[in-house]
Amino acid sequence: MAVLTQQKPTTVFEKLNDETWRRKFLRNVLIPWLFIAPLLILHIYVVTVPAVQGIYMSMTDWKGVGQNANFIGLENYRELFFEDETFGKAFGNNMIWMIFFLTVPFVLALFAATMLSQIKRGGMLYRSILFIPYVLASVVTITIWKNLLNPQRGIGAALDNMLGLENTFGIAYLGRPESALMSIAFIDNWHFWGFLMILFLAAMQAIPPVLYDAAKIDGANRWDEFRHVTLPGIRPVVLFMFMMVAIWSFLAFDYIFLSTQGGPGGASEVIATLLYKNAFFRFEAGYGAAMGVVISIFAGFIIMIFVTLRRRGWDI
Amino acid sequence: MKKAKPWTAYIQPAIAYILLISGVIIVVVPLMWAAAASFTPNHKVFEYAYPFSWRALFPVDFTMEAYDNLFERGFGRAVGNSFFLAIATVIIGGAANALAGFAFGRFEFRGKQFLFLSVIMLTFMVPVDLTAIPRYILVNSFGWINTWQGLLVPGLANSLVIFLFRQFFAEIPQELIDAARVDGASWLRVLFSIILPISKPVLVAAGLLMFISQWNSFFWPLLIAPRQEMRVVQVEISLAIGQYGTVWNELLAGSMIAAIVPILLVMPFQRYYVQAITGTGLE
Amino acid sequence: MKGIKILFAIAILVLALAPVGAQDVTTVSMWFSEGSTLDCWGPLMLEFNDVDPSIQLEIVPQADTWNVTRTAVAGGGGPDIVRTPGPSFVYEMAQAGLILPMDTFAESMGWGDFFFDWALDLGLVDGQLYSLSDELETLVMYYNVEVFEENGWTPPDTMEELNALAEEVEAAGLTVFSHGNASWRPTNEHFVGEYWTQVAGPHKVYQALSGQIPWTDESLVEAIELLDAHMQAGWYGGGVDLYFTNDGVYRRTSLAEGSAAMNIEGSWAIRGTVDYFGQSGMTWDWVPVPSHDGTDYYTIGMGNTSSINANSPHPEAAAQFLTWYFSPETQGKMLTNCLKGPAPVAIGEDVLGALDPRIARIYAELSDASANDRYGYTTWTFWPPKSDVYIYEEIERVWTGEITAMEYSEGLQELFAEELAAGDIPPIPTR
Repeated sequence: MAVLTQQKPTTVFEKLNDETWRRKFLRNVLIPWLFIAPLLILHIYVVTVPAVQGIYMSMTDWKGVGQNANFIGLENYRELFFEDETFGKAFGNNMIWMIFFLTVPFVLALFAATMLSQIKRGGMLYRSILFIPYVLASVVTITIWKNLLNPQRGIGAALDNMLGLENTFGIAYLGRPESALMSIAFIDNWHFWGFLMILFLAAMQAIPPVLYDAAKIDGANRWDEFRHVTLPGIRPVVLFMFMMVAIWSFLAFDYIFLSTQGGPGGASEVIATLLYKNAFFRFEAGYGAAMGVVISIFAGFIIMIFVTLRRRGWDI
Repeated sequence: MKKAKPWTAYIQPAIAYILLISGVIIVVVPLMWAAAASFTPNHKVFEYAYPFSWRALFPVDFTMEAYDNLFERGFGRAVGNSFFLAIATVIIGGAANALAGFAFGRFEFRGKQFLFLSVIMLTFMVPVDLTAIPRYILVNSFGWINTWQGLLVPGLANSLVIFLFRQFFAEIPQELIDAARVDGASWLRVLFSIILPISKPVLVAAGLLMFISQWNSFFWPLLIAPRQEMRVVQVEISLAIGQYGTVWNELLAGSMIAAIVPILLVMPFQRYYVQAITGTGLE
Repeated sequence: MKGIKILFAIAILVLALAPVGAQDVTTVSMWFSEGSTLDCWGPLMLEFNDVDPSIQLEIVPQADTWNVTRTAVAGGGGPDIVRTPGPSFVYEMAQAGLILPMDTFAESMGWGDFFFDWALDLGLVDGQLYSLSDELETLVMYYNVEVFEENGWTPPDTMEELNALAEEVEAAGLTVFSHGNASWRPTNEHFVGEYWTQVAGPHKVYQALSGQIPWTDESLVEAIELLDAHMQAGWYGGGVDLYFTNDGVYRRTSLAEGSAAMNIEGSWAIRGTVDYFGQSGMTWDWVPVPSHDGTDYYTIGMGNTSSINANSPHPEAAAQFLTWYFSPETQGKMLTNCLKGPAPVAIGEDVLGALDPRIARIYAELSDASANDRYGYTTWTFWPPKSDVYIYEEIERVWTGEITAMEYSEGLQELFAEELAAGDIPPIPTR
């Protein structure tokens, strides 16, 4: 030891006397950690500890109450991936959900935002109205739409009545396995797309008008303008929201649980509803926790994709 | 060079407007029903909704009964509680998240990437209800049940907000900071006198996000503060839903009020939302 | 600097709002879902506070009651009185040591004097008493009297008669049963349980529950097949898809207004039935659910249960409240005033006599049936939790044609055998 010290004179005290080293230490270690410390303390307490416990739980047969949990390794994961058919189906539904939400609300919001950005009068009113559904509580949105989609007494039935038809529009949208999931997606989208629209609209307004004028001089039509000026101008917002929506798709829960609880016959089951039932009705909290871990791995995976793309120079 | 034919010149916008208007109708009709029902006596809420007719869009026997009942039961207090909590979250949480975002965005240090990813990712560990038990045990061991800090503290760290801050701070030109550092300003000085003044967009956006998420929080307040004086808005509303029946008009009336506050806040500030996300705030 | 000021303000607020020092009054807390229920129950329950001023009941209205209770109790908090949705939940909590065994209280406070013996037995976990059942339940077949009179129908006794009647009901353009599960998905299990008991008979169900025969036994599968056939025929709410979208409001209005003829529902539905028939001006009555052999079987169910939180600082006071609450006097009062389904306690003849005879008859017949070996089983009371979830979740796949009745029964058998072997099964009284 002594020999080593002599050769390399870098004891802590000596280091502290070394001006450049001290600066480096301050800059690269102390100050960053000081900045992060408040958040980290909060985070450890609110997120990390419970999450790590969640990961541990996923390797036990914990029932969700009490302290008795036996460590069973990766058994829950094995069951999840190789035995549980409902999980596969739920996962598929999550994918459908994601595809729906990566397309429909984006198209709607882009369209409406483009239209609204050209309206001079009353634009604020339209925006506010289209945004209201976003701030309604999910219970309320579901209540409203369950009534409106009711086959005998909803809007469909009223439409049938008006047109002299029978059971054409007035069908049990939420009661048929083939349409249940899409109907809930419709309801959730009703609530969600206004938020996207507001974001896109505000982004569009930040595009310098000069660019549009230039496009006009080049003889561009509406579509060209949209493609070559608007879309590039709002690209960062669109891509960021793509990432968020992809993540949220794996967390989808309350709209589905409140409208069908995953039924009929598992037609609208997603991972989060399955997790909930396992943890709280079947007393399989450990198994549910494993599903939670799978979801967060997916979230991490999606974030990684975006981080990688960003490193490669994408403007996200 | 294309020349638009006269008929397309009319048809295109016409279709667009029809689509837009039908979109507005799809949004407005359910809202009108909900608003109308909140001004209707409870037993008549479904009178015209079953079967649905246009009359359901206007109050039947207009009454303020639902609103009166709500406020009698202490809804005003709940609104106050939620408002106070949301503001406190914005200020305290905003500070913590901004500092961390700054460190992630501007500093190079060992383990940064790992820390950042794990902070963000762990947040997506679901469900809230499942992590609620360990969290509850922790909060309970502090003796924080039925306290404001128990309500407040878990809502302070917000990954989306950290993400926004990090991105915004990462975009700030290095020269701006270097200049100040050369003049001998400390990092805190740099943060307060140089960064903050140009950070209005991200501050507003992050503030709104935190405000709304605290305003909408339901399960945690329900769990941690069952005392009547500490109820928040969403909890108070949900009391209209019971095991044996729901007081529809109160549920809807509460939701109307709960929806107004975020709308009033979001509308004037919406452009900051996007500036923060796009990082165009420096123009 | 603003932040610091606000921090101060918060700190002061926190101090100001901290609970005032304890007095010599013991408070027993209880969480309760709000809605409209508390309007009638609340004041009655608070009458307890006049009995002994040193013990005060505090009712805290709480949304999402069970979820919150479970999390809080598991986390070392929660109310003194823990209410669960049913015996299978008690089992898990008791095993985890979250609620207290109450045998000593039962003895010193004489619970055995007014509770039915078998009812106390249902609260046993590993031989100790952990819960008291808040509501004794059974299912009956309600019908609209005017609709039956106009068409000259008589309520059916057997499944065969039900078959014939259902055809006539449909021919008259009415719905047979005003059913749907949009408000409460586990409604499904009511019918599964009922068909098992009524079609295969309670003795078969008992054998299966005690592991002597499998759920794939011919007669039990036949019951599921019959239920499926009735569902496919559109008896339940007018069609399988409609069944999934019909909500609570529909269920009550269509029967009360005569667009549906009957409905198989629990005794807990009396309150709603009385309300809605009151509004429509028509008359309701009930008969036992038709059975295969014409015997009047009544399935027994337990509604919410009450236990004492292991974290409660004063279990004794909590037990005193329970003694008062479950006394035949209190239960009788709640039955008369609020139409609350009574706990399984010996309610006085005078109380029952003052009731609407149709309501009194339900409880009289049920106690008669349980004394004469004509009682059956409800799924949420006697099946272990995983099997119970399976029963109401997977039956939907039978109804949507995804699996057969046999496959359904096989799946149940596999799960049930596991739970039976693990001993996770609620107590089944021997018969």
